[in-house]
Amino acid sequence: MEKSPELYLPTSILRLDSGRSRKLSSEFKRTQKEEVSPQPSVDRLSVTFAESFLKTEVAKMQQEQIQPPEAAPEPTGSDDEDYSISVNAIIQRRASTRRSKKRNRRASSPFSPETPVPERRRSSVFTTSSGDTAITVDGDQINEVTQDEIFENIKLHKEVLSNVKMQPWNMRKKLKLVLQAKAYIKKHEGQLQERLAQSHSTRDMLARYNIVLIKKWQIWKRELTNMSMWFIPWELKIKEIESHFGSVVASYFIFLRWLFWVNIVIAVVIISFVTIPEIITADPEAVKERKYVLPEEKYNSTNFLTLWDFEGVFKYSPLFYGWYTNRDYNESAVSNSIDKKSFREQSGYRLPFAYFVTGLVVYAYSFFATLRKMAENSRMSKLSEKDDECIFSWKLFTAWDYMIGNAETAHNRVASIVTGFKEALLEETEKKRESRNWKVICFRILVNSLVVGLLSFSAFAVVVVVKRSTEKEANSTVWRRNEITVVMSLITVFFPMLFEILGFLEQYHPRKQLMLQLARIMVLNLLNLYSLIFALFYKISDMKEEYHENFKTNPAKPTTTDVALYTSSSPSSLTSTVSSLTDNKTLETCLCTEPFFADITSTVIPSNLTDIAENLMQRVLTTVSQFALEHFNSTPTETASTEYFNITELNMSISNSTIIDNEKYFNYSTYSLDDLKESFVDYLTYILSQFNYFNVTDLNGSNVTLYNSLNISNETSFNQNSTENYEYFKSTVLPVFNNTWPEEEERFETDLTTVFQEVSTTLATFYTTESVSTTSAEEYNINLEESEYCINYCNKLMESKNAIFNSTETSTAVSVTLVDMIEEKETLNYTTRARLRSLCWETMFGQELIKLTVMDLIMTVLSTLAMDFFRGIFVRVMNRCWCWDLEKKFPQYGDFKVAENILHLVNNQGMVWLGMFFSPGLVVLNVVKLYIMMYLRAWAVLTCNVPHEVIFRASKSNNFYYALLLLMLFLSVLAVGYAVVKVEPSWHCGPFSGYHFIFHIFTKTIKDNVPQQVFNVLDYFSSPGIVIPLLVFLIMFIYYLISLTGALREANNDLKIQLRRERTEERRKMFEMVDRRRRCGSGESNDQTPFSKWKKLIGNLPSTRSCDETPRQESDEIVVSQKEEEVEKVESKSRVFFTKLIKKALRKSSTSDEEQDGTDVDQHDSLPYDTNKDESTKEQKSGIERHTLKNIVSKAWLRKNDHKEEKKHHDVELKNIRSSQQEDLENKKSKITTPSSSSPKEPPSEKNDFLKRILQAKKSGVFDDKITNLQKTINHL
Amino acid sequence: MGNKLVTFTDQQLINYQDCTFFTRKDILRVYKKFHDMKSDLVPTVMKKNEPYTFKLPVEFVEELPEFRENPFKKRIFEVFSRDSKGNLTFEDFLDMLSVFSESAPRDIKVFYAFRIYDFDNDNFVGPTDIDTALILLTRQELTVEERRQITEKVIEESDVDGDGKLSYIEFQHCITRAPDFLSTFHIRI
Repeated sequence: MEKSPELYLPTSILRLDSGRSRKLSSEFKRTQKEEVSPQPSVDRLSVTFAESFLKTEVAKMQQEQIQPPEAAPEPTGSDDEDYSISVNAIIQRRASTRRSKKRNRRASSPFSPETPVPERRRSSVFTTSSGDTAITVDGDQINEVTQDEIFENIKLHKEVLSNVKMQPWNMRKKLKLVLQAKAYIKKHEGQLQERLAQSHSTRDMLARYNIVLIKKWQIWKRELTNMSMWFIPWELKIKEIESHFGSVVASYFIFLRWLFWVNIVIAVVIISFVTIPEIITADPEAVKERKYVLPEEKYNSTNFLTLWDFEGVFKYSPLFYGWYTNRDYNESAVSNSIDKKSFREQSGYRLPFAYFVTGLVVYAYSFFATLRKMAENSRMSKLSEKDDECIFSWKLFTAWDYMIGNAETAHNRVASIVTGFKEALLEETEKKRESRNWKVICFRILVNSLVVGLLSFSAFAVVVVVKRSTEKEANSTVWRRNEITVVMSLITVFFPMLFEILGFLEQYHPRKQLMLQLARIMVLNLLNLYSLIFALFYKISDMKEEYHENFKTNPAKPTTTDVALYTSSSPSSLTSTVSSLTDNKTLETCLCTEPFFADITSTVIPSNLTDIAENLMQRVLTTVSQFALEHFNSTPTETASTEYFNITELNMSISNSTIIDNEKYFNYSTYSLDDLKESFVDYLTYILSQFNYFNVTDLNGSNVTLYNSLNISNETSFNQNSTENYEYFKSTVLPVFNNTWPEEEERFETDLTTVFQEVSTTLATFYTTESVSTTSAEEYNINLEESEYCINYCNKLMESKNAIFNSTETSTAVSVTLVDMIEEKETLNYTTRARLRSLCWETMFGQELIKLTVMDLIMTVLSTLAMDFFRGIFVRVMNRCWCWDLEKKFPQYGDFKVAENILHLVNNQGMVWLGMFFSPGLVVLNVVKLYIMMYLRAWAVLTCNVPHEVIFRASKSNNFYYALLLLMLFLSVLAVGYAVVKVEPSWHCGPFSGYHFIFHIFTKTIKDNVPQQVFNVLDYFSSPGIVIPLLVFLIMFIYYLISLTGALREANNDLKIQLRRERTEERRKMFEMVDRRRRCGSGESNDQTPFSKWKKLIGNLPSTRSCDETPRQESDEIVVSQKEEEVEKVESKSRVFFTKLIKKALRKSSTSDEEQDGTDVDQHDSLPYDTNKDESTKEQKSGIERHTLKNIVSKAWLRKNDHKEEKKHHDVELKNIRSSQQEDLENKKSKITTPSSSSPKEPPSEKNDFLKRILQAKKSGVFDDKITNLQKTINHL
Repeated sequence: MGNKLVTFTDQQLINYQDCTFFTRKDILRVYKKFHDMKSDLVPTVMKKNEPYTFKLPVEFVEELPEFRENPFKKRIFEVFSRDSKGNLTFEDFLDMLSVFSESAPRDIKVFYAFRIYDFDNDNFVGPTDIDTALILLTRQELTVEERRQITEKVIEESDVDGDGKLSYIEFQHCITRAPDFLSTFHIRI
């Protein structure tokens, strides 16, 4: 019985290990006095589990057939059985390095494991033996245990100490091991050098500190991640939804959350770079026309209906483009060309440029964010694709989170697990289903044609509605005003439902159906959106026409307004204008009069305004006349027409300004002196500017001849016109006064008449004298650069005007107050003004989109309430008293419509992107909207909705959503780009008024700030000469990338197929590996284990060295040695079997100490027994065995080819094998009532290595060799 | 050291520390937990061999909040108790929490996971084991047919050698690749 192991053992390590274990355990018993009594077998299972099942595994593999698992592990003894076995388990790898030669030698050595261990050894270094059996071979060397060895041993024990916790044993066992190791260390450490001990302790302490630190850090990190979960908004909510409604519904919310983030970023950027600077820097008084509601409209500017249309207060708020000013120092600084330095100093926040750049950045960010998310997702999906192979197993074994302690969470988790399983099952059934019948195909064709019909209908409807909105009576009723929004919202609500119904007929996989649904609704939305955009652009062009008709017919007015348009507002600009004129003689006069005026205004009581006006008029007129006379004196060469032209205008403006003053006075009870003063100053400046303007004209002398040619007609027309002028003037003024203060009218009338007369007389003198001045000519360097945009404007005007403007632009740059005055003058009557204001098409564009957005939100809320909430309540309440089951049949509870909702988000975001540029407030509004939507939807889903009948898994990446979003973004940007590049901005509102096209601000800024050479280069780069080749190159590159992708995909598929093939071959590999192990021990691959250190350690020992001299050439001998072993085994099988039976009997009958021994024996015998048992069964059922083996081998070969047809054949074979396995199992069971188990324990890590080795071996193509080996073996058998 | 309540000797604590993944403080906390489960039953001070002889009946252990909702709690206690009935001694308890602790390596977790899922102790996770696990995990919300399908699928996915059940190696092979095994298979105390 005791000798049997040596005889048959193919793997001597194991035997030796067990031998050791026995010896040590007996020794151990002495030290452990108070052991727990042996436990029943079930308990023992826990101890020997690893060994036993591994053992069976090994046995199974060896036999190339599946052995029945041991029903119950063999009772192997009590808990305290062995310190040594445990140590062995830990250091097993080292021991297993020995090869067959060594094994042979050892097997034949007289040193049987059962030989009583010499006393000295036990007392001195039992660990040596536990560490390595090789020591026992050269026993005498043990005598002289050197200090080094002891040190090594101590080290070994320490390793044991540190690694014991890694072992899957129960606490008792570990404790014992620890106690043993400690005892040894304690015993021997004293003998070692002090230095060693010390260094050790410090190191230990350091290590401990290190561990503590690491632990703390880990805890902290964990807490941090837990904390960060708090900062992910709605995470818990989404998780909850996911667990009940599946990943698809959750994907909607994740998408919504992501959009929310993007919008927040955009909103923050816009607010901080556009809105806030505008609020800080702009002077609202200076740009009343942009910032304030018309006084006439003020009354109902806060009415709900007005607000609903985003008119009134909203229209003049930061929400819209029109609110922003075009103040740009680059423009306003008159001294720009004169004094670059001062310009630099003055350059503050250039809002128009900031507006433009912010817009660019925000769109760029949108693209970037979307693309990055897509890349991230596809990366993730690529990763997960590979891991999808064990989806069910993972769901089963790792789905439960052991951390869950809350009943609610647990419930959710269970729900989510169930949902997950259902999703996965659906995937599986869908994979199998391969339906291609005609009925379905017909249905699909029908559905698609219907969808196309619906789409074209919706496009038609939108076009019609938009056309109607441009008609004259478009604003007549509430319905007509909201026609577009209502129709579009109805389409977006109802058409998706139709699509969904149609989608059911198609019978696609739900995920594909979702995609189709998404694509269809997307097309619908795009159609709508684009018809809307086109309609809006039509409207814009209509507006432009109207604008040209109304406000550009009179050449004089547009001239002034256009001039004014190019000016920027600020007091400083005024002063700069003034200061730039200091050299001018005229200005000196002017400046002299200015304080005078101020004095007058400050002293005069406001109530006596008309007097002031009169006085002022006179003053001004005298100044003018003086001025004119001076000019006349200095320069006799003047063209009359210009004169006439200017003076007419002057006349107009003078009178108008008076009126404005009066109007102000009458309209506003609170009229401050400052205002008065300011307006007068402005007025004065205005007059001056007029003069400057014609001065410069004269200086240029451009088109003088032209004017001369026009001279006569103008001359003659003047006198006739003067009365007409007066009439016109009166008619424009009078309505205002009629409305406001009739009693003043008369007095005003007289004043007016006098003023007019004076003016006309002055003008007459002026005209007759043909005065002109050229003195101030030098000061007005014409800044042609500045007037670049003006040129565009002037193209529309008369040629002469054009010339004038080119030259006069800079000098006419005066304050915006002036501009306002001009504007007010021009649009004096209310209707005209309102008309003009409504012609700000950018604001109109933004209003339209903001209305859509808000309407959409309201529709969403209403439909959610109606479709989900009230329906749910109705179904729930009425179900009791209804003829049919409401919950099951017709109305049911609503379910969450993913496709519509996703598209709804995409669509909404598209709107926002479209309107963002012309309505900066839209993004903020959208953030609020998304916030509301999040809660609304989450609430609706959790309270009113039921999960969809077919729960399917969302595709891992959800990239389809983002692709749609990207498409939407692209289309929105196209539209906005068109508006920026091709549509002329309104001249009276928004930051880009004054530019011919919006993008000119960009090119202009570049031009200004970049040296000429660089600019030339840039200019060249933007020319077709570069752009077209670049485009061609990009197309080529895209083509290249596409073909590359195709190739990579092919390669990918190949690799996948290869992987699958390898997976099917895994079984064969397993067998091979086990076979190899059986023959050469498990020694080859232990280098990666944490125990390799020990191996090295032992390698230093003399005894091991003696063993290690065996050359490593086993691989050649494998076959031979294996054959020998086979023979050996065959001879010994019966003996082994008996031995085992006897042992079992012994064990069962006794509980004494002998039993412990018996257990040990049994244990160390177990593997030999098992292998031999296998052999014996092999012999006994060689028929089956051989059959099975052949089957397997042939199968392996066949699998290499991996043909599908053969798979069935394989299955048949597999069944054969399984049946034979069953037979084996039956046989075994009948023979061995209690199968032995305990095989050498293998730390889990080794198994890992085992698999690794499988993979390595697979790669190195070992298998073919192995198969030949296998065949040889079979032949041998 | 410095503890008012000397439940364990320093030596004991150090030994426990060597055997588990806990610090001294953790161990004392575990003991407190153990004690609090049934404070009138569990002695405040463990006498010499009480850590491994005194057994806390399973019905009290189940009340532990960390395990109350765990579908596998009975099985877990069975696996970790020395009498296989779920009655835990303190050492079993400590051992259990140590295995579930965050710092326990994957291998040992996999090992115990395998044992937990091996309901019939035959060293294989067979179809019946999978079915049992499914019933527990989903609280019987799946139909028999669905469970059967899932069981088939699990076997199909992970059974490498085609014996219709999962051996430890197969189980380990499958589990170690699972992305969230480590994150789910732990209990924080």
